[in-house]
Amino acid sequence: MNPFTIDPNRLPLVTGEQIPGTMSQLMLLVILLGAVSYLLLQHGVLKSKLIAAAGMGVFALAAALAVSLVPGQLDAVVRMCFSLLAVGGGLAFITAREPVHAALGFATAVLSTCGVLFMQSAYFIAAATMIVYAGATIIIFLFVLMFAQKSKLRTYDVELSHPIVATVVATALMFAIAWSVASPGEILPIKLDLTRPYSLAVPGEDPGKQMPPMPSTATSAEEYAAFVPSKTSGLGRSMFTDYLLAIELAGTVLLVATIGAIVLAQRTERDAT
Amino acid sequence: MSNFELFAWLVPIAPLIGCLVCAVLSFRGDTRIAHVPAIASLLISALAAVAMLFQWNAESSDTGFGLAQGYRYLEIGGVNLNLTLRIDTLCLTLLSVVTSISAMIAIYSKGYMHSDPGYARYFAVFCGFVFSMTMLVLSHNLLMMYAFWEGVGTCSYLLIGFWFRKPSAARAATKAFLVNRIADTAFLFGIMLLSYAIGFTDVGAGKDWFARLDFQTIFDAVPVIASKHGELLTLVGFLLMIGAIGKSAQFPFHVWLPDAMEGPTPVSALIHAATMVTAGVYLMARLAPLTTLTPSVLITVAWLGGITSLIAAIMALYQDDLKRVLAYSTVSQLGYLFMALGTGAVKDLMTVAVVAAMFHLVTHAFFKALLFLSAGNVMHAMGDVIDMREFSGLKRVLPKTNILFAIGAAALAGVPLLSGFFSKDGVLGVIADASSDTMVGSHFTMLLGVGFVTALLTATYTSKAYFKTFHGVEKIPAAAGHHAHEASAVMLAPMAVLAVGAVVVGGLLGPTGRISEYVSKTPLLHHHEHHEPMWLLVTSSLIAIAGVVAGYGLSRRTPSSDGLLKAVAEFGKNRLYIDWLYGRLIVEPMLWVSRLLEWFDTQVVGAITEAVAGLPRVLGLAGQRVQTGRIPSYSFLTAVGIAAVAIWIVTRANW
Amino acid sequence: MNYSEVQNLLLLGGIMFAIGLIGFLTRRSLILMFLSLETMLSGVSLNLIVFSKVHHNYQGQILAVMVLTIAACEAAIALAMVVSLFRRKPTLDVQAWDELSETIMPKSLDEDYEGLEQEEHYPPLTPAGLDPLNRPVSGGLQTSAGISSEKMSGAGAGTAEVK
Repeated sequence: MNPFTIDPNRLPLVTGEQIPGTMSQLMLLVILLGAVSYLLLQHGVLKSKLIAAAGMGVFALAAALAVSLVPGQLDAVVRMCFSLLAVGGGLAFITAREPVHAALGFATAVLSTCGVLFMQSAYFIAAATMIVYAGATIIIFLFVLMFAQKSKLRTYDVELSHPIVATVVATALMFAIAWSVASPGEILPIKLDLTRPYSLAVPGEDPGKQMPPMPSTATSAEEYAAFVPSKTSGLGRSMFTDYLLAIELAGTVLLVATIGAIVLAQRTERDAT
Repeated sequence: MSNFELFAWLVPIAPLIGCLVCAVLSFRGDTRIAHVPAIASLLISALAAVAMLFQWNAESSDTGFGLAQGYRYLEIGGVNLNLTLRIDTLCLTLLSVVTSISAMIAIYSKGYMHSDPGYARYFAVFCGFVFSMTMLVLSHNLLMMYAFWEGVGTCSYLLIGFWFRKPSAARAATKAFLVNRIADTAFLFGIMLLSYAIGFTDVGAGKDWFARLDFQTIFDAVPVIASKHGELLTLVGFLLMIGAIGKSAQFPFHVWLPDAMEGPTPVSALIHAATMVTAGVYLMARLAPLTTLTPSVLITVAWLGGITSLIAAIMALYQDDLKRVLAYSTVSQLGYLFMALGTGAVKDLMTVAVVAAMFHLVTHAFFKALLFLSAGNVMHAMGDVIDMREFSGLKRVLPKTNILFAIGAAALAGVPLLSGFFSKDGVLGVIADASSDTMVGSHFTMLLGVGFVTALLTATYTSKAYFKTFHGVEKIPAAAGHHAHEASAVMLAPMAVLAVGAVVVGGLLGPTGRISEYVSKTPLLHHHEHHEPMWLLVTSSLIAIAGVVAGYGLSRRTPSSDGLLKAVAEFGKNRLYIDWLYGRLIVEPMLWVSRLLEWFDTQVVGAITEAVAGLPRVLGLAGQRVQTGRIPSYSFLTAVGIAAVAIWIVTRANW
Repeated sequence: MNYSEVQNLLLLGGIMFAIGLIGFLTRRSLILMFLSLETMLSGVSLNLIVFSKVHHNYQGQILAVMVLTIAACEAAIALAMVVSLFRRKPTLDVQAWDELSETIMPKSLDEDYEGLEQEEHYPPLTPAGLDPLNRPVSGGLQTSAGISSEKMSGAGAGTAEVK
């Protein structure tokens, strides 16, 4: 007998209700304007900086309009700021001419994404992302840029390979994503996931199968309905109980990657430099 | 198996075995012993044939002919192709002549073809030829006869083109084969038509298309067909006649025989004098029950024979090449045979016609073979020079050949009491008989005149050739070298046998009535007493003697510069321009058509094939452009794929 | 969280992914291509975290950990490969590696970019400071470094005990 009964009223998302497809035309406009402004930012496409600036202004206006349609709660505003910063950083990253500028744009994008992650209560993931991406990865890239980059800009930094076609493809993909996000149809009810029993105490079961309840463990339907996966300890527990094999394998992959990186970067006899 | 069946099968099988043994020897490149199996097998075959000739009693079988069962060669869709031999007196007559002369010529060949690199090949094809010829003569079925008809044609081709590296020989062989092919196509159409027609009679209705062509079935069925569809039978007769004419080198198809002299002389002696060219005559004789019902065919045959004999005689008068003279002489004499056969158009004369034709065929075989072998001796002695202008007065160098050639020439000219005299008389006699007929007699009167003129011309050119070669100032060409001596015994002995035959065979068979009695025992030929009128005998003797004298005179004269005679001489030398005409009318259009087809094949079919073959390359080139080796383009294609898949999923999935 | 919030965040993840895709497809420098890959992965992990919060469990976060791990491994291997490729040809151009091609493409340029207009115009400045040897300092100003050459040679021993 399932002790957990889901109370539909306590769930944030209504089950069985069809969410009508309302792909806002504004979303579309935003996407298109973004694509156009990206293309216009290419060096040499537009000689006049004035037009480029005008285009950016229009984009900013559209984005502001889109923003203004968002309900004005504080966390929504903060979230929107972080999102805009992330997108701006991404755009800067892909349009910058100097590679170091691009790396800075990337760092901005990643840090802003971490900000959003913090707001989604994924503290550990946010911290780990910051450390790994904006920390280790950027540093490695900058080291490589340091010894591999010529002092002057090279052609391959500036010239892009088929930008228009790539933009078209990405725009098409973005349309698909936006469309699917905007019209999800029926939202399935949230189920208590009983396939992973360890991170949840299962009251009433055999005492051997019980784990000491932790503060973050949901033990009833109501608690489950209100549960936010924010505790790092809960994440750790889930890691090492439900997904132990995956985590161990991840560790093995890291080991192999380490060895691989060392071996690949070794100087062989042939590369007599 | 009874005795006669054994002999009957021995006659063709012995040369076949000889052929196979010699073929094996030829693969081993033998040049010394190949004559042994050949001569042995041919002698066995000859003995068996002659034995059958004397022993087989036509009255003993109720049908007048005997059948020696063979074996089933092939069974196609319920039709049995049986190889069976049919023996009757007509067949035995020709068979004994063919086999004995073949044996003689094989013995002669041992000397003539000595140390030729293709020695064994020669004997292999020789025996193969004799096998095909005997099977042709012995066959009981018209279609089987046609198969061996083609067989002798093939062996003739192989033997004419024996020295195949010589371009003229190869061309001559091809010409012979192609001209025969044209005639044989008509022959085949005739056969098929006949088989089809017989299918509608009660006799042939129950039989399959092969069995309908058994000679006995044909003989039973043709009266029925003649009574209901006379025109059909006439058409069949014409088509079959064309086949006979092609093989026997009569007027439209005679062009191959003079060129066939490119082959070795014994080959010319055997094939183009005595045996193969008589196959056409044999066909007409065999189908006598059929042709009696179609007089128009016989009259056409007679006219063609007459025309041929006349123009061949004219052409022979003006040739310089001794063998060509003899070749045209053969054509002319075969014309006689066809004239004789043609007289069967007159009612009741069929038996006499067949008898006369067979008689002249037998004697002609003997003396023509003798003449050819003598010419071979001359050629051998003169170092392969055969142009009469190059040599003369050889009677001191080749005394025995001189005598033998003289005997043969006299027989050919029709000098009284030699065999040619009797047989030619028989032919002229039957034509004279036919000319007295009320309906078609006028044709034969004219043909009788043609026959007399031809006899005169025959005697003339024969004696001219003889006197030019052997008499007069002695002149030996430089090419002769040390060859200029008499032939060896192995070459002279068979010639002596043939000379004896040339002398006595006529007297033995003709006036005594033996041959007419014998041949008349063939079923459906009725015995008919026939005697030549005396005036005919006298006339032909006079003609012969006059011709000999004229020939002597011509041989002494230098070529005249008289305008008209010179023009006629030119005409005759160029073979009456018939070959030239054929070249223009037939050969050149064929070449033009083949050039057109070649153009089509290369430009159109070839172009299409090249295009189809080039298509994978084009497709490959088109696909190659995708593989730039650059990561951006590859990743772009990957991204396109992902985007496509994503869009597909998003738009189709039911959430 | 209501659905519009989820929607916006998913869109943000999608945009990050699309930006990374454009960057990967268009850039020619190896380093920047790999950075675009990292951007794509970060968009994906944002997506996962959002769904983790939607489903009230840790599954999304665990998967985000896995993504992070694999991204780190990939970065390490990628950089090692860039280093070893750089040893073969001293360029970071990805279009330089095109030997496995069937079509003969024109060689892509790998040279100094000439279209760069000189934006760096530094105003000419006067040299900083005064040359002590040629521009005598006005009186009163005692500098430890500004010793005239005459004084130097003569009073070198005298000023030795100066601290």
